[in-house]
Amino acid sequence: MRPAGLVTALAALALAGAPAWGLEIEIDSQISQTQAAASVTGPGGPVQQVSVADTLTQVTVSHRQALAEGLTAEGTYWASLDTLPSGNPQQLPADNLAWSSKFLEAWLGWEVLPGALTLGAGKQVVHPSSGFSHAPLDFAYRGGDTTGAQAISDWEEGWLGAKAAWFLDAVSASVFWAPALTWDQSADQGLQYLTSTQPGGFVQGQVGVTLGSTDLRGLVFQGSGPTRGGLGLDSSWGESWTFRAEAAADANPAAWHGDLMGGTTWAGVDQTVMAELAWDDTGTSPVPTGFVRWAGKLDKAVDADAWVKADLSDGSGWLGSSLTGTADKWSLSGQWLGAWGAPGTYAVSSGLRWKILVEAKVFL
Amino acid sequence: MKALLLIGILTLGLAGRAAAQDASALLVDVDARRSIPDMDFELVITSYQGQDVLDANTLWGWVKATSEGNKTLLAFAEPASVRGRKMLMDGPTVYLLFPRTRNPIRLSPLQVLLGQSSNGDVARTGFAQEYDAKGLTTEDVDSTPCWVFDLAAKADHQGSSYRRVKLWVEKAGLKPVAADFYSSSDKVLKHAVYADWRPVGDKQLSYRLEITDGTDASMHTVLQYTRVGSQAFPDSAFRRDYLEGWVPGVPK
Repeated sequence: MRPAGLVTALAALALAGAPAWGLEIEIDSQISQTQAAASVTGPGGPVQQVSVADTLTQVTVSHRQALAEGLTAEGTYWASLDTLPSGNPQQLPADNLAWSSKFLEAWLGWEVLPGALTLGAGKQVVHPSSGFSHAPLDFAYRGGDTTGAQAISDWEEGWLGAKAAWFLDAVSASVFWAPALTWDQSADQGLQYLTSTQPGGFVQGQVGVTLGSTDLRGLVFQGSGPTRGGLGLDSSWGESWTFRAEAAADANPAAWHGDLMGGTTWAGVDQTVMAELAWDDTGTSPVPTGFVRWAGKLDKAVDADAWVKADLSDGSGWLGSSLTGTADKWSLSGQWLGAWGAPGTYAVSSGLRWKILVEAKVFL
Repeated sequence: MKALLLIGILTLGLAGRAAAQDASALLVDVDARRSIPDMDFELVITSYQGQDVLDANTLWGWVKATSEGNKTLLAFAEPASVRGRKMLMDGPTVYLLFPRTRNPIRLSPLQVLLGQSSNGDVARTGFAQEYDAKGLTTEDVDSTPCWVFDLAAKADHQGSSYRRVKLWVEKAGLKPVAADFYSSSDKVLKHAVYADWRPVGDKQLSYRLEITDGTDASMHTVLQYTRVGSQAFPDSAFRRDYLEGWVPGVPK
């Protein structure tokens, strides 16, 4: 089926309504205008201000099906049409439209011992971090490069693998194994709809303990690089405060590369304020960042947020705000994002100057 | 004279203590008569401002009565814009798992927004587990004789959204009739009315709970059970990390 045909079929299915057996459809259309610094003559050429327009439509179809007592299959297939997937106006797609689609998740789960032992295999997103703007424990992350708030995952491709999870009184443990998967992507084009390659593969073990009002997590991750370890803490105090802290590092004392995050959220009746500090020494040089976000309800169906994230070493940063109206089956959002700082600073080197975006979602 | 005064004080103190014990035992009985072990349900929560509907959510829930108190698993079934969210309420601790994420977020009680703020707390309150009975009086409500409990949050539940509760309970069947939930500054935050009592097994359950905001009477919320049943769940399912693998289904 041609891409356009598939989209038409999905849209027709969506309009027909989702049956009660668990089919869920989400249609997300975005129109954005970005002012960015980019080379218009090729790599290494002089950088100029360019204006970039992009229209993106994504459709996801999710389904969950109980196959037998304790046995469940679930999955999400994603498709998109994008006028500028590269983000670079000098690299337009053929026919000015790029089509892509694949399974984001496809999971077969078996609850061997109800509430105590589960096994599963297939494709699944692995997201153990509770950081909002910075997530030290997300060792296996396939999402895009982000400059904004990422507490709630955007559509992201999972990992093909198998998982076992145990639940005891106050302790839980799990192991996720993703095998190394590589192939010639030009020769085996059909596989791209199932999964991306997984060079090296990985094993991730996680242990969780709840002590009173505090949750503790420990992670061990072995991929193609050195073994990484991490610790996470989430706690709450009173009726308004929650706290979180995460630390991660390579198991290599000779070349220590740490990643730290600590944050808190205060909640009122209709608004929240959160603040996070992070220290990321996993790149070429340490980057300390600070993040503050306010979110609140302006009306019965209108939410707003505003946030600022700054590189504390060079003073550059990003800020953004959004206004979202939500109804039972749709939402409409306007977002603005900007960057400041001198040339060469961390935020400004991302190329972004400002971006405005209008996004409409339909839920079926 | 001093001896008489001392005897009097001691007598009053002992009587007060005995009364508190009686009130506590009565409160346990009030909870027991409406506590359904391993309850599963479908609940529609509708919030109003005057006659206007602000929002409506349909939730599927599983409740487990444990020695530490009730634990509840919740899944948002409707509307479509919030479908797939899962929640665990374990005493004052609440976890929320968004679709497409794998890490449940710990929420503070004020972030538990089911309709109007903290209505979830009002709905789930197991009085004897979270509150001490400080006083017991009588009063008629619409010509029905009622016990009136004066409840204060226990020392290990000082994080509760409501520090004090005034609870009216029908004397004949020990069914809660109404409750006022107070803030730490002793203002009424919520007024709840329990209605539509129906038998579930050998227990009685209020199928309809109407909650009015204490500061704005036009803001009110109705919690209506549309299906109530019973399913056995292991204790270990009511844990933070189980949320990710939990597959909610239509309550039986």
